[in-house]
Amino acid sequence: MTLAETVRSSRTKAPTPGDRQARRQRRLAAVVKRILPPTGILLVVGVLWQVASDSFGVPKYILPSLSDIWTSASERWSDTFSSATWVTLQEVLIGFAFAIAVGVVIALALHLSATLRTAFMPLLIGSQAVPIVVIAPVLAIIFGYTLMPKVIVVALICFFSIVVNTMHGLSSVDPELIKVMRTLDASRWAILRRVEIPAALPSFFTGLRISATYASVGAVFGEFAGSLDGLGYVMIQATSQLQTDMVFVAIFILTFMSISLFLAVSIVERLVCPWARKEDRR
Amino acid sequence: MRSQTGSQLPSAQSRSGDGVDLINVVKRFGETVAVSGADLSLPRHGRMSIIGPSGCGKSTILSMISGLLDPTEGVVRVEGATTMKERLARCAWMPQRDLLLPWRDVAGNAALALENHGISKKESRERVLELIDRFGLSGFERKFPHQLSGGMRQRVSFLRTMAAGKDVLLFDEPFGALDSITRADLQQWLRRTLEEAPRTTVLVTHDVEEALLLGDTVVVMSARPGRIVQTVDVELPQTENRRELIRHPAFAELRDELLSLLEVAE
Repeated sequence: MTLAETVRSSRTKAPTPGDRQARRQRRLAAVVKRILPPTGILLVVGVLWQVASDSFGVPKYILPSLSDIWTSASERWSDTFSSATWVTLQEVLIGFAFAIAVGVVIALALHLSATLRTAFMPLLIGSQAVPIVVIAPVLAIIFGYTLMPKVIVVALICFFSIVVNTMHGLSSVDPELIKVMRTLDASRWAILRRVEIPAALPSFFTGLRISATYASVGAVFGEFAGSLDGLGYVMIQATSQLQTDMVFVAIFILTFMSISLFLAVSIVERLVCPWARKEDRR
Repeated sequence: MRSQTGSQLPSAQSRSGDGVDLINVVKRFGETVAVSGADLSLPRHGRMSIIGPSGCGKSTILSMISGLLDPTEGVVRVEGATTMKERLARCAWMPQRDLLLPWRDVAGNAALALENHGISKKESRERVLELIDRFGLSGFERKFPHQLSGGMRQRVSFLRTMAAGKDVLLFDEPFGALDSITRADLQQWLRRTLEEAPRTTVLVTHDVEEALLLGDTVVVMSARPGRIVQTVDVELPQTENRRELIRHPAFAELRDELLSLLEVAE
């Protein structure tokens, strides 16, 4: 009996306190098993890093040690990093939300109309060939040093995988199921609402998870092109002054931001479509 | 269906017109002739089984009756209706795979047709509860498909088909994916259900026993091009249960006749 089966069969009986405790322990064990390997690897890398920068005398402006980075993070948090993080976080979240809204609308429109699909697909693919590095300064010229150009860059980077994955999900419904729905008197709208959209949710979330990892990179691109604050701005300033430790602090914050966004999307996915994992386990 | 009230087993409305008629029906897919010149007639609440080798066009005939396909030539008439849309409104179709929606529980899956008719989610669920009870699924209303066995899932799929309240039921090898014990169980159960609530039924199968158990006429088809070889009337004595019926000499004789017809058809 696998763990999943044990959990499922124990659910059908009335749970005794002992059962519940055992289940809690199993869940705890699963979490530990999940978290232990990545933390272990991070620790090893961290120790190697610290040892390398301490004992080989690498100059601080080339590879600062972890303790240097920590020092500059705590010293400069209140005057620099707190506001920079807040600015970049806003750009990431607003841009991401923008990408979701636009991506879903485009995916639905292209799914429902073959004409629109053939008309817009080349444009859509072409939009991904536009080098963001070039488009970001142009956007900065148009909108100035505001939030807008960064939001647009984030959205531009993020929306494509949302569109492609959502469309894939919408169209991957078993054609026989559509036929069944038609004999159950479903209109086109009813099929979309009761079958295609729920069926597309797992793919939609896959698209979200992919773009969640791009979003912070997009914000930094946008800030490179012209900004007065944000983690990308801090990086540019620090690089020109050889303050490599500051650059690393910004990188760590960005990484943390990406991972958090990714995890947030995964948690929402579990809440919204719990059936997806259970179907997989069958 | 829209006019129906209460939660009893949706009974077939008494419509004028007969059951299902196919008149000189031909279906071609490009160069391939799937069905060549089929004539069938099934009275209201009659039960017909269609057997034949794979590729004989039996599923195509079912799709044409249901209104999911139109014939290339000839006429398909379901209770007097000939257009695809009107046929779709009168037929419920159930394929081999249960195709339940994994994100809906048993009651939610069963309630689909009612929701499609514009009835609220809550009321649809309430209305199918009695059906669920009658189908021996009470206690499972809130179970999700992944928590059910194959036989149970197929039963829910059947329930979903019945809840649409259609007068004509079309089954495309409904028990083909099940193990033989579950299949025997469901065959008996379906026989009983159809006796309690008679419908016009067309069943496509490649199982001769199933065809005899569930049909009062059996149509034998041959492949390439798909055509009707013979129509056999099933007249069997009343027996206690499925096992006795299968053991009966009259059953064995009919089964033998159908098997020899199928051999020629191959």
